[in-house]
Amino acid sequence: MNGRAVRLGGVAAGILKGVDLDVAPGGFLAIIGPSGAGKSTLLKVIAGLMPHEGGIECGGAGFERLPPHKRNIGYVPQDLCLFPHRTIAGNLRLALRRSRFSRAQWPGRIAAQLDMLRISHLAERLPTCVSGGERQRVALARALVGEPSLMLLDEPFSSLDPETAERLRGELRAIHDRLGLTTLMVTHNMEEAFELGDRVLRMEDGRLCPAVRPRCATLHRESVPGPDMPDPARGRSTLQEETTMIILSDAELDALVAQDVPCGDLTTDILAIGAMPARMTFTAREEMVLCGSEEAARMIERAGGRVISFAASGTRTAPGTVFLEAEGSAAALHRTWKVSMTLVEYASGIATRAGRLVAAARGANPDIGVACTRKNFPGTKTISVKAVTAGGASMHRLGLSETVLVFPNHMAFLSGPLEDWVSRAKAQVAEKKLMVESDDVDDAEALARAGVDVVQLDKMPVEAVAEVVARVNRLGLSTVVTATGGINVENAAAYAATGCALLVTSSCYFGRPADVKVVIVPKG
Amino acid sequence: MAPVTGGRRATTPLDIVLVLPLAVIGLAIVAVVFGLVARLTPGELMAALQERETLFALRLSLTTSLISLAIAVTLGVPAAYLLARRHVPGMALVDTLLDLPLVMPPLVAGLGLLFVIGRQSPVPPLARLGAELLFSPAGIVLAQSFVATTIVLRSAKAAFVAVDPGYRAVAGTLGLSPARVLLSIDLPLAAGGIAAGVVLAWARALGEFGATLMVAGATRLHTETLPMAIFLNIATGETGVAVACALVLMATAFLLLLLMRALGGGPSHRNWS
Repeated sequence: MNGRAVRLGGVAAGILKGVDLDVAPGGFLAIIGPSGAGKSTLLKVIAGLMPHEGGIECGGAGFERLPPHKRNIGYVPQDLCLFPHRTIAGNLRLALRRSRFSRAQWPGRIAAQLDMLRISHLAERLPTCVSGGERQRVALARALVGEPSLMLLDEPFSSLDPETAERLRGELRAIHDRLGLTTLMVTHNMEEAFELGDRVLRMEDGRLCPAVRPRCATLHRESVPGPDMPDPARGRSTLQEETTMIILSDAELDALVAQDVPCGDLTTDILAIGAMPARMTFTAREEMVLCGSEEAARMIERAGGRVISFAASGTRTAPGTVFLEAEGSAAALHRTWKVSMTLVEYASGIATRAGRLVAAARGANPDIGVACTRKNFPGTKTISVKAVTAGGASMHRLGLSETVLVFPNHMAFLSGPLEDWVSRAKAQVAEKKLMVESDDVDDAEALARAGVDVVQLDKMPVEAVAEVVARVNRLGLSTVVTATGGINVENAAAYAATGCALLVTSSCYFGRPADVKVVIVPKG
Repeated sequence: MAPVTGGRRATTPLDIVLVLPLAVIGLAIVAVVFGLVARLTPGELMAALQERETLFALRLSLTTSLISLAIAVTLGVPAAYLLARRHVPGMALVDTLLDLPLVMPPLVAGLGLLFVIGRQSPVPPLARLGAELLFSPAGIVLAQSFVATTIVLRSAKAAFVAVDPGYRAVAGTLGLSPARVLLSIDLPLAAGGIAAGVVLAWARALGEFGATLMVAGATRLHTETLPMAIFLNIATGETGVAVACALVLMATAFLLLLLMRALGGGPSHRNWS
């Protein structure tokens, strides 16, 4: 076990703005991000190749005052920098000068390392006379041969064809696991990062932020004919296959965009920037449960943009998480920026509140159900249902057509004994549950005795709900008791503790939208 | 695009016009060489080459130029390495200053040297040093190394700058100390460029005349290098020794030219990448 713990505190250099980082001994941290975000700079700073502010510790010892050659690291830069005037074995030999190995051990050590990377046959060749994949192996072997306590890999597979890269990735991970070598790898390839890293962070504008594994990763379009002809059908099918069944239709998405941009985007047009290639990122400014990212992605695609990656609805994001990246013309991105962002913000607000309420209720009673009412803002049912679901809650009633809930406003029209209309109603819809709402403990008990399936207690204090549950239990009835009216994240735990089966709430719909930052920049 | 036939561009009327200046240049060079070679019969040349004065000049030129070259490499290569890697404010000024000896007429450089270490030197200790150096073979070395050092410095700096700094950075992370990086990475990779500069500097030292005349004077059989021998013998009308020395210089220059070509095509950093 060679690996040392690595800790960075407030490291600033060039584009880097106060990077904090902790890597456990033997950990494999992958850092993703667009080019120019500061990934390579970070590695250079750790390798001691760039002046910086802030502290770097490796194995508990400060790195700041150590020159690069005393840091005992294995650094593989993006362009490898194999020494052209030395043979491949000679390249490795140079790296052994400062290692713990004695000169007599060098030949054996070099042979073993070349063997580990399966390039023994190349030992006496010059680096210029081997293939790209072999050069990559040489660079890895040279970095490993001195038994470093930290590996720094800068885009180690970017110059390789996909097959070679995949094979080498597997080998690298195996070597890492065998040696227990602390490794930092930067890459722009998200798949690679999540395949190799046991932790993945994202670098954006010189800062590290959490990265989410995109459930609908990349929209593969390599096989699409024509360079600038996105295949919307193919992109969309990928999007829909892997996401939840609740989606807004294309017509609904088009209508939303049309409301915002009925006759063109005047600002983008008069500035004449529409044709410029651009890149757009959506970042969560706060902890939230994401919802509507699929819709946002599809809006962008329908406007002609190209979604690089996005995280699915239901993903819990930390502040600073980038959950959607898209490219395209400035016109396409500006056309859909606000409307897609707003949709995500409102939907994520609902999902986040639902998620919090579920967490609060389950804290008191792990088995309790949480359902949201149909008091969503009129006209937004589909996305509201999606948000409730994303937050981990369920829908109470989707509408009037398929569930039976008798309110006092219905009972005002009924006469005769309770048992009569209850049994008549149950016979009418034998396959459905009969729910009746009540705001009184005694009335609720009477309803339960009369055979109602579900008694919904409206705006009753916590003690009264507990009393109804106790009475139903004492009577040995199977009546389901649910609580509704005024239930919110503050009192959800108290209501859940009463023993009722379900909390019904509208509070998820009311509150501020989640906070999302969208940045559009020229690409290139 | 000009029409291409058999891998060669077709001859245009412009090409024919342009051949003329080329022919003039070529003919002038051939004429100069021919003028020197044809001046003496082979017998006269052999006799002149065996003159005591010719042999003295040849020996003195070789000794002084090689010592000067050693000084130039010892000073020029390390200075070039520093200049190639460090960027400090005022670098442009330093660079221009270092280029000055390349464009300064050697006679002027010699005059400056003479004043700095002459009897009326502004720095008295230098005057004492000057008493030893001036008008002696050591003065020749001073003049030649002054000229040769900047040539080595220039070409070595260019050679070091051409080495990808990535090699240096990676070598550092692999545990090589800065001195070891210089020896194992930078020097081998810059060797071709440095060697070409050394050959050029040697040629300049061999042919040095103006600065040597100022600092060492032209004393027969004392400070008489090959150029000086030509000057002294032409002045007294003894063309035999002058032409023999001139031919020796020319032959040496030609050999050095060949050597430089060989080095330029040899293992230099440009051929790796």
